[in-house]
Amino acid sequence: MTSQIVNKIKSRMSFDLNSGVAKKRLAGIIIFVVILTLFFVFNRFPKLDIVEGDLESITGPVIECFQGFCIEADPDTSFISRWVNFSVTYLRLITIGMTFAFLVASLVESFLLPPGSRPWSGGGLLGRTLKGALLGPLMNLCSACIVPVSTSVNKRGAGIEGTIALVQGSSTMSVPALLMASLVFAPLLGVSRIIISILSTLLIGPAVYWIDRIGASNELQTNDDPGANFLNITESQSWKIAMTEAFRDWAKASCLYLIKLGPIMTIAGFGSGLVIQWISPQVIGTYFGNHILGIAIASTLGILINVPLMFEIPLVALLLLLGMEVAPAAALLFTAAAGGPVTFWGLSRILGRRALVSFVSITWIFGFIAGVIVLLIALNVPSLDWGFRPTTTAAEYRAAERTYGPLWGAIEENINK
Amino acid sequence: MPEWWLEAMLPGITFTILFIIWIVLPSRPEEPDIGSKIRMLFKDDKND
Repeated sequence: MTSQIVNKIKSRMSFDLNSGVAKKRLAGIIIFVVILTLFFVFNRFPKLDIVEGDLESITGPVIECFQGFCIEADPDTSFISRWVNFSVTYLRLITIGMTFAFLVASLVESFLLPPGSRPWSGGGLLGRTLKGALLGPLMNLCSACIVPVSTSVNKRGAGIEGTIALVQGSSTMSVPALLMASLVFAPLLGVSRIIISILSTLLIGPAVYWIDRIGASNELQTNDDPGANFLNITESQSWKIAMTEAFRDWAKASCLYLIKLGPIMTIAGFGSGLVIQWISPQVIGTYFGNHILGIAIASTLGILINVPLMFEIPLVALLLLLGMEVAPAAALLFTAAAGGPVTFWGLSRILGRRALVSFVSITWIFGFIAGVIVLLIALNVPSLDWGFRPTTTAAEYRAAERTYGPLWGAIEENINK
Repeated sequence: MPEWWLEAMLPGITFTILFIIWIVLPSRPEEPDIGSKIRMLFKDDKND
């Protein structure tokens, strides 16, 4: 029995380089490692410094704009210019991530899982979900940028559950984001973000799959047989022919992804930018208290905006400093990262209407539940009712300013005198 | 050099190169697409 399992594993791990598929896959793995390394070194690691800088800018005596977002509107700028400025900055920030995503999505289709290769679809519901959940954090992309990659794995049999697990895994279970959240926020908020991210990655996909299945006719149900929808080409192919085919497929698929998804994502990015303009110091005080309505509004706001990876951390930190309470903060911290118009519109091409509506609704419900749990804890243990680590004098200053009025303006006036 | 240059140039250059690869590399016989049509246009011009 044991030798059978060992032989099976060996046969799966063996890399017979005679077939074109194996040659493409080997080249694909090398290309993937190269572009992933470049992406991390030149974009993801510097992003940690950017978020750290954002946190410093919001905890200073004067709140500065960060990543195009300004909480205090400059009276000299119009609403339209603020909206366009934020949207353009957002699109600029995700450009490199999106380029990486288009390249990886087409790499999956042309090199890693080329036409005729063994599909992604094996392992059943749980297996496909786990594959998405494990691949997601490796991608380390925001919920918008992961759309092309999830589209490509969906084409290779990942199913609804694997596709959504990949989206959630990448956007909410990104290791730098979880580390940053646990360092920046107090344990109640940081831990809630980690737990809800893991649960959402493992549960939302299967839940959407089951909802989509209910009522669907037998003909439309997905076929669980891993080999049924795919040819298994094992013919030998020369390196030259295999690489010519694969590079052409890669180039073609990348250009087509850009043409098909680029305009949708740009329009949705502007839509998301419009929604975020609603946030202002007055709105925070009025709507984001520790109550059910506050949590519901925060969850709704979260799924109506798309933000670059980890942007939600300085955003929520700023809103906490300006008076948002911890329960809506927990909901927003999750839903802002988990999805938005770009994600949902992008995925509408591969998920059916029922699955898409379920995905949006369940994401909202997860955010809402996270908020309610944090609310219950915060109400029962008042000493924990603080979401941002009050380690800097600026945070204390902000708290004092809320209590005693605009101190900074008075100090500035005295200095100027 | 302005900050947005990298953000504009990197995808610009990447997708231009990919588009050229799409045209230059021959397609499978059963796979006519825009890339192969542009390639055929250049071939026809050369033959003329």
